[in-house]
Amino acid sequence: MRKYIRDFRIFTGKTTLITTLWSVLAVIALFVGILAVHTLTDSETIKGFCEGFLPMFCSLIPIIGYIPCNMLFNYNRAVNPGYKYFHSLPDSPKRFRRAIATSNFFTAAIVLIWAGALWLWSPVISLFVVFMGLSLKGVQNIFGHARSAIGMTVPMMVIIFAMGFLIGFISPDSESLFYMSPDGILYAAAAAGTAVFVIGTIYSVAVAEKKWQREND
Amino acid sequence: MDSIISAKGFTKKYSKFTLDVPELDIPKGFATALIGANGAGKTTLIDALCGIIHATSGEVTYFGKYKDIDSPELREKIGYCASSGFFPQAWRAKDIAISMEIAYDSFDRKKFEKLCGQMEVDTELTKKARPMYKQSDGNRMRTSLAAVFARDTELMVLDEPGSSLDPLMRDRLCDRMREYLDEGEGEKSIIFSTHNIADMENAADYAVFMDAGKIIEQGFVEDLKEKYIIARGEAEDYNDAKELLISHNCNKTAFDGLALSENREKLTELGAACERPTLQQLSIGLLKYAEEIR
Repeated sequence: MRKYIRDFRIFTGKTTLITTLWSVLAVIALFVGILAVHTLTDSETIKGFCEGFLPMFCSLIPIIGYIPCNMLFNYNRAVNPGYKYFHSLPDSPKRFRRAIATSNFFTAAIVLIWAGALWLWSPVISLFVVFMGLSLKGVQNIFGHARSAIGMTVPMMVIIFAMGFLIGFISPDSESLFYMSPDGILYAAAAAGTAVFVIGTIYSVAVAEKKWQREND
Repeated sequence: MDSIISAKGFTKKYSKFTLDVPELDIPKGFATALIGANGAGKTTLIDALCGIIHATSGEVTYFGKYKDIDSPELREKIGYCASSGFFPQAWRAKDIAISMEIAYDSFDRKKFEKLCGQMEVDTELTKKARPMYKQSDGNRMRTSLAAVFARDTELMVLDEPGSSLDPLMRDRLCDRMREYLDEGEGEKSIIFSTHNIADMENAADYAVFMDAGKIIEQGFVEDLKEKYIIARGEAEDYNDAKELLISHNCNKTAFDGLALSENREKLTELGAACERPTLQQLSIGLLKYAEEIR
């Protein structure tokens, strides 16, 4: 495990990790702020806004964890600074593979810890986080090695629309989303998101060395 | 002569450019300059030799025994520095130190700190150290050079190390390169590329001249200076002298050009003054000749 973390740090240095950590903390602070507004306000409009906004917002926190992994994929494109440094390192293909595995481990950990914490407050939102956080990461894994990341956009948009559709589909008019009990469709969505993540991670790690060594010029 | 790098039938093909090196022997214990115009193939050759890109064909032997550039043991012995954008733009000196310390057994973090100080760039200990994108090209190159010289290597491969440095820093770089070779006592070597050899003339012991992906001349600088001469004469003698010159310039009053030393006597008979060329004059003369026959 130590080897994996060390190889991850070769690619991220210190600045990337610090930036990512601050981003996560900033989003959590904003989340707490919006939640406080929702709890303290009597305005139905503001409450409605918070309820619509928070499920998406909760899912944003794991997405910030994608930044280091996105940088890893970018370092395998000759156009980006750092490409020649990383490709000149000893054992760079193996290190790249390990770094991708580590970044996925951390993202999964962030998703599960965050979803676990949210479960105590709103199981529905917790499942949304698992669905969106893991499926987007899975898509990133599948398309990250492509020479152009444009192909990643469409499946990511589909997932975001699916998230919005699910929120609309399961929300009754009278009951707050926050206090609902999750039903089968949400468990299925979370399971699907997990499956996309697992498949994406296995694929991404399996082809990492080959993709690192391909002609990229 | 022991070779640090020996290449045979080495090619790298792109759709619009081909690097073709039938034979190349880079001597051990010396500084070798790859000299050529922009687009001559210097960076392609360096990148292919250092494993950044893969050669299309050919065989390369490093240090007389290694054949595979992907061998971690071999990479540990080679210090490589690209001409630009070597490190990620968001990185600071600390990121570089962390990354290189993990990646290389040969990286000395204290030496990196010291070299950054000598190169007058942000160190790990600098408060509010600037990321690469906020630094000038010259400072980025200085930081990259400090990082690569902070490793204990046997071969240093530097792509255009002087192009973004100011004259004073170029001079210091030449000194640093000399120190590196002296420390090695014949075991350490340097390969560097440049399109302007005038600034780094003192750093080169061996020169490889390149044009359009091909090596047009190579040899020890002192031998090349014996092999060629610079001839200068009056314009009226130009037509007679032209056939003896490899490349030439002529205006209304005078001509000058590069010639083989074996033609010295004939040129002297024509009234031309012959002198020993500088590396800069050699490079201009040879590259001009290559351009004419291309």
